[in-house]
Amino acid sequence: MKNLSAEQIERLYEFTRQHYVEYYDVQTELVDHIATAIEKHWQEDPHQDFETLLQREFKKFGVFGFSEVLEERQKAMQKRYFQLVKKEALQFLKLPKVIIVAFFIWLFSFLMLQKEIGVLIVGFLVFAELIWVFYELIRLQKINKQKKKENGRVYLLEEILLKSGSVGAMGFMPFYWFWTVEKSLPYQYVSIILGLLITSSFILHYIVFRILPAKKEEILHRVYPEMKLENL
Amino acid sequence: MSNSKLYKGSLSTIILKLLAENNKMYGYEITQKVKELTQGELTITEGALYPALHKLEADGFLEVEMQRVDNRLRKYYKLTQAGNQEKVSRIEELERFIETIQGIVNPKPSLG
Repeated sequence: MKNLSAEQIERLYEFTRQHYVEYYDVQTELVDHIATAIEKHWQEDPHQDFETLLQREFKKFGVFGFSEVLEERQKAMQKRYFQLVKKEALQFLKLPKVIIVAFFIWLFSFLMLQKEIGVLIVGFLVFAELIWVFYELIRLQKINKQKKKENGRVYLLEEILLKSGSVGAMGFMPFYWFWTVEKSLPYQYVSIILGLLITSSFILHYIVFRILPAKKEEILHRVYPEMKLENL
Repeated sequence: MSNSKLYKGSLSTIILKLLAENNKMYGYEITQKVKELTQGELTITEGALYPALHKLEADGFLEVEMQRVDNRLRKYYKLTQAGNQEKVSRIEELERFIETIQGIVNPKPSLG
């Protein structure tokens, strides 16, 4: 049986890249699919031209090419990322971490209740958090760029992890929603809810910027068993 | 089948069923198996198959295994325990649906 040569496999990887699939895990699956289909054609007639068969198989993916597969893969991976965030967040509701969480909720609420000076301190802390978020976004982006330069192989989940699942700055969203309804509540409730929101946003940012990136390799090896086979 | 809309909602059920019977399969193999079982009546398009597989994987119903085949990597899909349970309920659901449709397409003649 006629098989594809190493050069032809490389050509298939290049073909997926030309069609806007930049993630190695998605490329690998598509390469194997097209390669198997081409070999099937060769079983019937080994003289058929490689490039012609490649184009024929690519057409089967429909008018949008690989984009549908890629989009769905991104959605699926984003979902997995949120599952990871959720798992880590639940840890903060267990002992002993929950004690620290409760302390911070109390602290922020208490400060808010002190009016002027307290509100000023809380405002300063939230501002400091914002600066930290930007610092982390830039730090992770640098690691991402470096990684791409090093081996050119980017895994989709790795990209999501290094882009903090695009939730980085979104962690502030609840404040905006809250500011719009805040006037209709008594001040004590406003303080407690803000204490809760500020603490949650600190936890969320800590998870996406610190905990998950630190566990990146472990997570990737679990999701991508091919990483072990890569160097064989 | 020319009208792919008819099977689209059942695609993941078909995948779960095939994986339960064949232990592990890769994408291309699934398309061929469906073609073979339906004598070419039903063709799963590549643009629909992979999104369905990835969704099932993200939902925790499938796990993957990689193997080196010739000079490339192949991704095999297998059912997880949750996937096995999901398969049972989805097949029951599909069977009920087929019966319902039968009732509309071929209503049983009623007496009176």
